[in-house]
Amino acid sequence: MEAAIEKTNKAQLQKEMKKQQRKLMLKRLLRSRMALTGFIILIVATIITFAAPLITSHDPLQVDPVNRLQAPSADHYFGTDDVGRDVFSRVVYGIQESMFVGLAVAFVTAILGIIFGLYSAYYNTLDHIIMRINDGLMAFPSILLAIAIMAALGPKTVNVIIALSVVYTPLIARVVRSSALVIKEQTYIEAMKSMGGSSNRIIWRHIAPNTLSPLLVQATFVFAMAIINEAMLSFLGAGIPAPEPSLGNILYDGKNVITKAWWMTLFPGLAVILITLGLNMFGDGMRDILDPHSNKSN
Amino acid sequence: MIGYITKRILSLVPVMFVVAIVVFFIVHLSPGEPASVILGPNASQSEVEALRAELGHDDPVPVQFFNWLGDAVTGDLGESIYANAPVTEVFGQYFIPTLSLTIFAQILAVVFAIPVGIIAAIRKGTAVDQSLMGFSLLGISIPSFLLGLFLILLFSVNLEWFPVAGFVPLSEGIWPHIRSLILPAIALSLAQAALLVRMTRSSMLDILDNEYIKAARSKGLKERVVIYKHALRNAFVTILEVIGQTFSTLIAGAVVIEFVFNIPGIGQLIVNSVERRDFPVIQGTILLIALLYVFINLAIDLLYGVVDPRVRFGKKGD
Repeated sequence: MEAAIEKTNKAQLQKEMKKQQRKLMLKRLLRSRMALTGFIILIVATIITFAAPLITSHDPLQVDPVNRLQAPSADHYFGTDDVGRDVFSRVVYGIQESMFVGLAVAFVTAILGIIFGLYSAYYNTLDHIIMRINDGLMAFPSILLAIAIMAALGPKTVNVIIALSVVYTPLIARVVRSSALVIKEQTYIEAMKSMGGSSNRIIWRHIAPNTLSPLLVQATFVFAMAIINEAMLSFLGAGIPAPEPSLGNILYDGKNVITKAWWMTLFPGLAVILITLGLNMFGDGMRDILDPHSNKSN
Repeated sequence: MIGYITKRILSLVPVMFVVAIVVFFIVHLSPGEPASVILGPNASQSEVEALRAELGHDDPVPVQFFNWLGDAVTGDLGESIYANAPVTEVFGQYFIPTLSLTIFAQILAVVFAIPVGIIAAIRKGTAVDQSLMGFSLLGISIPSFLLGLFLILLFSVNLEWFPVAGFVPLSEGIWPHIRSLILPAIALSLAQAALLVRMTRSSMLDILDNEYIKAARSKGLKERVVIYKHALRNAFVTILEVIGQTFSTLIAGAVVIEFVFNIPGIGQLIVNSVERRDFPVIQGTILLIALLYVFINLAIDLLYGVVDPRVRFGKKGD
């Protein structure tokens, strides 16, 4: 009797699973179109980053007071700013700066995050300490913490990277920790332990690789948030120092002449939105492709 | 309930301690000597050393930390170097515009987003629903300070409906005050509103699937009653949760929005203090905002306990 019920249940379950799987595949296909769009935007941004000197015909720092605040034209695609610098060149080099800062922050936070996340998942005592520090850091609104650190360190590109890394490492550490906690309880880890595998070997060879996909996805989002925050910091005058072109700096200069020069606000603003949109789409798409389970929870 | 409240408050102690350490060390990271910043570039070495001793900067760092913490706990956050007034006083002066902006933005988001979310849920799958969802995705993706700048370009520069940066304080009348906050509040609230629309829609849809909704309908209740009395009430827990999680981000967002619209709030205060290297103000302001952040989250958590009894007894599945 019971066996029969189990059998029909099993058949039903399998049918249901197949149906679900088909649905899932379709969803992933649709979603991966999103990932593809994001990817294309990122490729374009990367090309701009590397080909900056080839695309631009003006020096982004070349001041030309005679031709100040000129509207977009064939010579100056995005017009000129309040001291006559070519806005197109400044936006292109600004994208370069943003991509550099974003990538650096994503990289640093990924490395620190995986170290803190793994060790706090593995060692209970360490966990309490690291997680309390994490909670404390996450109690600050991210932009305010970044401003405060920048105020202490002084406006420099390296300091922007340091400040944003401090802000976002807790986020990554938390993600790595939570997936490592699940993996730590698996039987094969127990097996490794009973076979006498050293802690470091278990952590790095057996737990770490399984936390990589959530880590990658989260790092993509950190990349995007770092770009937005760098722009905000520079816009507030606490980020990358003045003459150097950055998307936030152009917006800062543009704010003072917003009634006269819309191009100084619109173009760098669109650049920030497009790049972060691309990164977020790519991250969302990657999450679905790398981890099919995440579809169920959302 | 009391046990629950005590537990939640006690869990804040280590968080607050770390917050205090971080805020304290931000100043100690700084390369400039506070004493020479206060005295200016013309001060002699002996004057700087005298002030150092007076400020207690010759003490070992842990001693300095606990002295500072003791002062902070009793409400003394030091003096602003620039304004020559206690930090708490300076903070108080600048906080009102920030609070007004944040509350206005929050009201705007709720008033706008909940009805829109309900409409999207009722019209699920139609063109109305899809376009609303499309807009909300766009709303989530645009950083608020950029939205603010774009709104200025469109409504102030192009259409000339609003002054470019004309903040009017509350003392000059409520209506002019609100009018000057319309664009900043829209810029600040859009991302939260967009998120609220999505959450309202999805939680309404979840609830409309339930048996008791079917029961309500089949006993002949009007659709309006079913939606607003039976469904919305239950969806409200989720909605409250989203508001709670995002209200504190509104305060942080306000800091940047204020700079965009030249509103003399906490944002201006922080930006100006960074420029002037007025460390006591930076330190105090960040500490107070972090405190506010933590306590708002606590208040929201406790509010769940009131709204949803399951939370109190720790049966909530997360």
